[in-house]
Amino acid sequence: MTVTIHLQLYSILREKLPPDARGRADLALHDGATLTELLERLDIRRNNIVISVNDTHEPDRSRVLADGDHIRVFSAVGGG
Amino acid sequence: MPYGYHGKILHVNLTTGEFRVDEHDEAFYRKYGGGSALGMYYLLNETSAGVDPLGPENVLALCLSVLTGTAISGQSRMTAVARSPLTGAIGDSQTGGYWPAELKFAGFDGVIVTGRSPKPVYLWIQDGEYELRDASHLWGMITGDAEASIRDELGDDKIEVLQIGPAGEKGVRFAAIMNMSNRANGRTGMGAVMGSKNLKAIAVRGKNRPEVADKSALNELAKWGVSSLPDSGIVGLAKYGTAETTGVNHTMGTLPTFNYNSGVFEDWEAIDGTTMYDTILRGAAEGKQDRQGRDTCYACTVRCKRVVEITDGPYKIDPHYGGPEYETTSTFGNYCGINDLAAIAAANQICNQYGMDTISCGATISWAYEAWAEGKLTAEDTDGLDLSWGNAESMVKLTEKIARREGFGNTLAEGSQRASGIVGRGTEEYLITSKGQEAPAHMPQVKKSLALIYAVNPYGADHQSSEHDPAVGGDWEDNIERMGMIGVTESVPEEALDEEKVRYTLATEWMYSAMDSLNLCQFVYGPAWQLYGPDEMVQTVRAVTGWDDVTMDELQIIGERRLNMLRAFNSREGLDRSSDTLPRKFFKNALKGGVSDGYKLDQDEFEAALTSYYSQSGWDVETGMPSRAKLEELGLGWVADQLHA
Repeated sequence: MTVTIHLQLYSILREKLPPDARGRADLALHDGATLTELLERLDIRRNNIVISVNDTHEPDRSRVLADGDHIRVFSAVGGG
Repeated sequence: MPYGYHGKILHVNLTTGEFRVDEHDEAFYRKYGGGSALGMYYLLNETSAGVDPLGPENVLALCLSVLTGTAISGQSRMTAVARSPLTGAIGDSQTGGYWPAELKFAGFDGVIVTGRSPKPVYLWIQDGEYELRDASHLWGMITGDAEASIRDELGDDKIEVLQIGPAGEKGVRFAAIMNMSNRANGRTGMGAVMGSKNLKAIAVRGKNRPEVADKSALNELAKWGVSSLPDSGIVGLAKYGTAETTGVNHTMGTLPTFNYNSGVFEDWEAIDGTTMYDTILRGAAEGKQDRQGRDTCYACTVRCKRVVEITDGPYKIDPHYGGPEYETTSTFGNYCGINDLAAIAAANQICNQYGMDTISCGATISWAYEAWAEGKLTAEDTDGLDLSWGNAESMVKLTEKIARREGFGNTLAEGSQRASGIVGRGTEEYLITSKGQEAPAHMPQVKKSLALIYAVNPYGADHQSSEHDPAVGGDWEDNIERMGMIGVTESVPEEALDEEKVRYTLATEWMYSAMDSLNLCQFVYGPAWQLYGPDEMVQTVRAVTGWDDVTMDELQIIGERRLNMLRAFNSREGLDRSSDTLPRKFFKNALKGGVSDGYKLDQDEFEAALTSYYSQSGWDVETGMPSRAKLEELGLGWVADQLHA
């Protein structure tokens, strides 16, 4: 069993995917996969990132992902 | 011999046309560092209580530091201080670019401007020589044209030009001082002060690079910075610009929307830094934006500045005028409910051409948009413009009207607080100002330490005067070592505004204050996610100056000293605890939507934090005034004599 999630990476995190993808990918994950596992698969090791699941902030990296979830991952630093 | 600085400050009285060169010794430079603290030395010594911000007696100090012009990232910055025509309090604003380094090469560590010239002039400084030149033919020119004219008549296209645009000439109260036609001393109306003196520009050129005490050590630090950038906390900011944070702020409920009534903006992605990178950066169509669409300051490896070019559509953007920062995409964008990135770039271009602060300009417009939404403004007030949320065309037109002080723009050119006084009808309820300065795009309803900083900061609401809450909360594990160097040893919950949070806020405020005195970029140096931490900051000062025994504690005291000088100036002008306030709506109106839905500030919690802040600062908790004992402890007995006469 797998679930498919819609992933969008922003800013420097986009470079975890091929340039043509512009940060977007649909990924198949095993049933029960968590945000932590997704980050490991993407080799995102930074701590200071912000994640939303279906446009809602998700601080819990143990969240189990569901089929069709829309995941956005941002790098969290910067200023004006 | 001095290392890093010349020991010379150029002083010009524009009323008489007289110059003098002040020479200060090493102890003076080690005490103040430069920048804002150096400027405050002159403000406090050469102005009297009640000085008119737009009168000849106001002093405009443009100061470099002991580090400016050396070969390392983040040092080419200049601070402008004067009494602010926007707030009536002290004004203080930093810029980057190439002008700061070039002034150092021209032979001076700062320029102090007093008086008022009987006619428009510009100051030309080259290799220790200086003269005033007629600027009548430049008056009224936008920045790009004036810059080109000055370079042309002086016969050198490498000259760096610091100038005001027409907005500064016309006394727009949030007028900026510009350099490169796209870098700004934006905040607190320093451009209006320069305009009131009939000083159009300061052109600089020189070959007199300062000697550095330990070139090898500085070179190692610079190389470390270059090699560390790809793994640093600012690598995204470098490539995608400060507006990379738009989506983060939307997600966290901290993206000020509809004039600070909400922390989320549904259309955030249309104006995000990643979108800007893909669409309007110069060279984006050919995938060459990394080379063509990013700019930098002297000797800086980060290259965070945006260069936008748009050749089609209703808004043509000339890359000479740069591109919008996060603050600008926010104030002209989400503040006003606007999702048109080209229109935002157009407003940014107008601000850079005419010389205006994008934060105060955009936030003043968003105040008008809320007044329109609440039926307090109609087309009769606005020269027929429809100020409905999201109307990009009216926003751009209004920006130009403000720059020219035309029609309703003339009212808004006074800043939102004065404009609300002119309009009346209860529109003060829509203000987002502290000390009369419009709030930047970081929300104190969620980032609680900013509630304190926006209120107590001597020059009004400011987001670059302390480290924000996440660095001591969710991101704490990443920052333990650096924070320890400034005495912050424990994590504090992000939502707290207790004594521990105040202690953290004050410690980082002193560090940021030290950086504003050493004129260091707050993306390159800082206590958390920045490229260089406190340790590298100390190493930089040692390498440049040869002050081998300097410590972070000593630099923190420079920061504390500057804050006390700024505060003393305000106390002298009658500002006290009652001036350290926040907009009523921050306490009264709960935010709507997203993760911060329902958030608002608690008055009792805020007042307790204020008392704690004064107490920890060694200031009178009733008045907020620095005590004589604190001033003397900081070597500011001469300030205490003014304040406690």
